[in-house]
Amino acid sequence: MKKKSTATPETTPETTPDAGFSLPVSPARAPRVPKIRDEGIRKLKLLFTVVDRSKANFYLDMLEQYEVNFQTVIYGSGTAETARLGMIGGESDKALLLSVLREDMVAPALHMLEEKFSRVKNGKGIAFTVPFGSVMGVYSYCFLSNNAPKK
Amino acid sequence: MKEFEVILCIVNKGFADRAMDAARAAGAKGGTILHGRGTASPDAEKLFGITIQPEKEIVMILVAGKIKDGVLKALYDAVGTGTEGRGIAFTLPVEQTVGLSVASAKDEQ
Repeated sequence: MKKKSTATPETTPETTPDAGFSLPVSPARAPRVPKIRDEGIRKLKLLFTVVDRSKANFYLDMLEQYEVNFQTVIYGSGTAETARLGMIGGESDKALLLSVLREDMVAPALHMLEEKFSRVKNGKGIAFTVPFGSVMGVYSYCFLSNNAPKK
Repeated sequence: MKEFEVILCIVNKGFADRAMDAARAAGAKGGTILHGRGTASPDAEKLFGITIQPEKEIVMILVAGKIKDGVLKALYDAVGTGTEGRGIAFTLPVEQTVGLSVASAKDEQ
């Protein structure tokens, strides 16, 4: 005798989206947000570096080693008195370098800067980091963090 | 409270020295002056009956967190919106620093 099946009809993922399945999405309807290659999203920091103007390009080149894709230079002047500058050596024309760094690159970059500030002639400066609040879009984040989108 | 904060004070051209003098009197050690151009809304200018001078100076001062409020108050009194400097100032949190001399860091504390 054929046993009567008492099991409930098998449900399909399409009918029960809450059962841990996801609805199949056709490629045409797939969201266009790019996948980020790395496992985790790392925060970004804005590095401010104030150095003598004549050393701006030197420090820009140095910072490029730390996967910095975006840097900008703003020229300005220091506020130390001229007499004091004569004593310690240095110029009043300054350059402010703004560099966007991924957080895992901050420590090695600051270590490099600290070393250069003390060893390079007329290379003294200060540097500090400020956290990013938000970034306009995933592509911007990928560019700033040197994290190419997954193809 | 952060150990250090950076103060950015935007004033009309020619008032950066006054801002820096006020900040020094409140305990700041030094700063950097940058040049910029302001872009106020024409509607706001009409509404408040003021003319925004487009040429600006930005004074960037790294200070210890403890004296931040005192420096901001000094800047407000010297070059605030009620003065000819028409300045605004704000601070950003600083996480890590290098290049500051030990002596100046201790002085600021």
